[in-house]
Amino acid sequence: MACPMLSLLRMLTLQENKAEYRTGNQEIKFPVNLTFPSGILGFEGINQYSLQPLADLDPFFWMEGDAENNQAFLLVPPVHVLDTYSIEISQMDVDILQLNESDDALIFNIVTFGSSQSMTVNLKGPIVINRHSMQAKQVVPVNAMTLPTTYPLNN
Amino acid sequence: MLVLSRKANESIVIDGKIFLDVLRMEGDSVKIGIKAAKNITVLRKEIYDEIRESNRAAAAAPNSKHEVQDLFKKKQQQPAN
Repeated sequence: MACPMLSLLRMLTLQENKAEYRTGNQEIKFPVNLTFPSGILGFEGINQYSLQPLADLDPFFWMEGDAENNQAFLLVPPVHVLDTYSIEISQMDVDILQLNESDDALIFNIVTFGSSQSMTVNLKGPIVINRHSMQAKQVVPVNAMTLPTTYPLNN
Repeated sequence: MLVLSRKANESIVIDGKIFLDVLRMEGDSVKIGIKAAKNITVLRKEIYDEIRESNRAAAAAPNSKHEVQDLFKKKQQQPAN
């Protein structure tokens, strides 16, 4: 079967820099409905989520599955977590999300509340959204091994 | 669990759709090639487990927007560290 091996050298780098942050989210009317064809890791059966900013808790966002499943996540854009967040997305993920350029992508990281109200952020498995189609995926970047799932959030 | 032995250059087919090729041995590692439709996510298990556990912990609380607000209020009431 002739099937070319995908070259990992073909990938897209998405970089979010606090210094250059433009609130591109202002162009989007919330709430939006996200479609996760593969769900998120460990919750593969849930494919639809709504996403909205939390008005009183800027810059956090709320991502909620449909009522039956009652799964919900607190999200934050990475610019509010660290100065530079750079992820390398494999060509397969670029194709799945149909990203033509880095501006097509919205990136969020999932927030976890730990003991004594500490908050950490998952940098290893970001949520990447195509802002035009609202297709989404929890992407494992090519440079995932260098990224933690429990990066402390001090706000 | 189905257990199979393969030599280098031998393969396994799953459900007629996923192809595992044993490429070569390198010391105590095995190089495996995986061919599957793009919508099938293939990950090293330890990374899958780590992210899945992180997702589970994140999903555990809060369960509602109200709960988020309560958690943030509690955080603000803590003495600054």
